[in-house]
Amino acid sequence: MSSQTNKKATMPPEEELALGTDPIPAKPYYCPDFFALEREAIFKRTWLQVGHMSELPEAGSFIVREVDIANASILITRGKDDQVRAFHNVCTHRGTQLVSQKDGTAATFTCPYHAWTFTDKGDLRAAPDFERFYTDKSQCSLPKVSIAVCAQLIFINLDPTPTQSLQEYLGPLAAELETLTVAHATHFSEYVYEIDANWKLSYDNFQENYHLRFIHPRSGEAASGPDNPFGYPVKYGFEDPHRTQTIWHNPGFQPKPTQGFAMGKAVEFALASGVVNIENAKQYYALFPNFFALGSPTQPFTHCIMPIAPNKSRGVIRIYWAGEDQSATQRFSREYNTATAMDIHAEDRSVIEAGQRGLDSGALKHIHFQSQEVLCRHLYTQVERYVTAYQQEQSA
Amino acid sequence: MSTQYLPKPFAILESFSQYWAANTAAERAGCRLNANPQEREAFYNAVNPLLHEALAYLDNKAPRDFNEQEQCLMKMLLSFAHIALAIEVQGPDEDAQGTLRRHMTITRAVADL
Repeated sequence: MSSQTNKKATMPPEEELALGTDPIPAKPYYCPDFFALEREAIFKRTWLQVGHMSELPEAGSFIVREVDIANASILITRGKDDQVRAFHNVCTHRGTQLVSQKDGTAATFTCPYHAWTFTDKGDLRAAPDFERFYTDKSQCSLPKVSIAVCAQLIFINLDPTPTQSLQEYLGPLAAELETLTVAHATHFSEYVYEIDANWKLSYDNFQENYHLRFIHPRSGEAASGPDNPFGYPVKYGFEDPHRTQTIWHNPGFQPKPTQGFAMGKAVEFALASGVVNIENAKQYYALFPNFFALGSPTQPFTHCIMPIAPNKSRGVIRIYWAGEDQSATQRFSREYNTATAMDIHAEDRSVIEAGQRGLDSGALKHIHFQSQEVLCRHLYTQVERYVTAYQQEQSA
Repeated sequence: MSTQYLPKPFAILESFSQYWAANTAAERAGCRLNANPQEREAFYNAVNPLLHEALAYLDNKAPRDFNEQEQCLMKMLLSFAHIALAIEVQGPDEDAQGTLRRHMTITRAVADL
């Protein structure tokens, strides 16, 4: 094991970060009441990643995103003025969901119920027989949702008056995200999964490496080896409420023939594109509450875990690429690397669900995090901090 | 050998095109899931020695300019990307791993656009 990894293993940062070393209560990982608190304290008032600017390639483009935990459907438009805006996807007449498509191009949006028509700026443009209403059109605009973009990633905030801008919220990580492939991406591949597990339990799986050798014995060879059998990270970083790790790479890793070819080509294409900062290739960003981004040029993926219910979530994984496929070899390399990432993520799902089944039984009062699961501990402490602050506000 | 679906230099792979030249990444992942070990191995053994030659052949054009036969070859090579993972990486664990992979749904791929 490298001296750096050894240091992390014997000198956990919990104490210096005031994270403590006590067991963590199990209830927040399955309790409906705690989930309801998270909805109000976190998901209705922090910045949530919901899309990428490549999905709004021209004026008139729109996308619709469901935020299940908030029972919210969000319409995001790129107007004729090139401004990106977000609205609740709700007709202001009687609440009918306005747009049923997931994406498309439109200058106006017409409600299917009584044909109220809104502009891409959210203004009510026309409504049949409107003279009979007891209001005026200026009072009937679509409800706005806060929206901001960093590294071409689209974030929304369901708080009508966010306490922090997205840049303030991301802090120094905002600049780092701008160096990643995602910030220059024009295309992406995507795969999704549903999982019967709490969002934190799912998320934690992807921010600890302790499980790699047991769950990914074949697909995870590059990330663990005799020098570092558990594949512990080289370094951790904490930028409350976010966190990072620098992934360790197994120097003895011998890629399989097609693997070596496809990954080598991916590096070659990424470097040739001139948009990849190789310094951040091993950086793995965990943005609070539910978003990951990996700096790797071969698998520049993001992973968003959307809560649906106390024990149900949805994962959305995207691999971002700068430019369309220029050649057959590039196309092959991208397909191979996407399939590789999917193989690895697929291996995690069922064991996370098994963990949820155990927690749902209520048999455990606490769960235990070791020093190299410090990112999981950090997530829980941030969740607890937000929930406590919310409760204090409510009782004030 | 007469060819119908593939460029002439790769006519030897013709018999694999019907199953493996799938249109989308989701369908190619499905081909991997639904093939039995013998079918996976036969496809891998047939394409593997020709992979670099076939890619070099196709690299003479941008993908958007491929004719029908070149597109068919490209799709087969993309299926090979999935099968190479099955044979080279997962090996004897492939079928068990496949039961986990069935829960993942590919919703978009850059090659499908």
